[in-house]
Amino acid sequence: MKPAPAFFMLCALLAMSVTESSSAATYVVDDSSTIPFETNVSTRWRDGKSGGRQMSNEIEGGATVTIRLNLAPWLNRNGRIYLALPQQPVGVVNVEWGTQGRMLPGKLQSGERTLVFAGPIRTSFLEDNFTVRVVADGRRVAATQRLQFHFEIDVD
Amino acid sequence: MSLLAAGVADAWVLTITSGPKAAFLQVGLGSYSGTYSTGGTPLNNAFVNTVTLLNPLTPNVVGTGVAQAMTSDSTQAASFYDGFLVCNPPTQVYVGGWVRTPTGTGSGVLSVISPTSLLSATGDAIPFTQISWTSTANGNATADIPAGTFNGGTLALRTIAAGTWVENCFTFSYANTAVVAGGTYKGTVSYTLVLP
Repeated sequence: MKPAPAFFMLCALLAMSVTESSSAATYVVDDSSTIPFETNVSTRWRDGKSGGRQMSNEIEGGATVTIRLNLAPWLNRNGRIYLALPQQPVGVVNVEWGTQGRMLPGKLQSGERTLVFAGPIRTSFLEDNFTVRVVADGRRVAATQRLQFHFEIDVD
Repeated sequence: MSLLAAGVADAWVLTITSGPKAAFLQVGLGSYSGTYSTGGTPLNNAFVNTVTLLNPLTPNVVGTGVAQAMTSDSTQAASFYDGFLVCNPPTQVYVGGWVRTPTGTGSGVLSVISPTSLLSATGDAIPFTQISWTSTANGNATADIPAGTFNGGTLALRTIAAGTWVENCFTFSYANTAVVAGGTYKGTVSYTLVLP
């Protein structure tokens, strides 16, 4: 008996799903050559009215960092690289960065990741200068807070 | 989504500090780079304003108990919060400030310190308790900083919560309840904003 068309379609979808999960993967990128690898950022209280003669509760700080990613394990493959910041105990941390063009500028909130590169990986190292600005709720940052970023790569 | 490590996996770190402790107090003429609302920051202004009787007392008025209006040499009308014209100088003297703490909580204490008396060149005295003020502001008639009378010592005016811009305009008056010798009487008061 000839199988129904719907059954064929389901088989095809399952096959596609298996293929996708076996080849695509996400890896943490080695960024240990980043300079400086750990940066202390002095913050200031942000300006901005918040009604009734209230002042902003946000603090902000900035730094310039030379990001250097070791992409040797994925040479000659296509990849999408993301900057990620896990959720923080001090609540939402907003991050914005500019670049010099080898990676993409962007912004993210803690708990998210944002694309900084997409395409074929043709060199072992990808380097760019990031001008980073961080904004957090100053009422929750009672002591120094380490924001541990990482880069992830999705490879095809 | 699974996250796999590829060899050495490190994590670039930014360490942020808490917000800095800071305080700003302005009495009379002050300075700011622009306004707070447009990203301005406080500047130092060491000018000391003078408050005097609007009209010099004549012998038939001295000691009658009829309060005498005072005026100032202040020209500060605008709030550095947003540029709004909160005060009407020279009769009104701007008084305002704010504090910041590393956690955004807590408060500072606004006080005024007055000597016991105003003194003349010949040593005659008028108690500072003869001078009072009312407090208001354009757009906010509430006396956020209360009206009062100098006490010849330290007088706490109010606490200022972190992250709140507090301001008012003071209008001073002389009670004129005592007959005093002729002369020019002077004294200096100091306003303080203490952040523990």
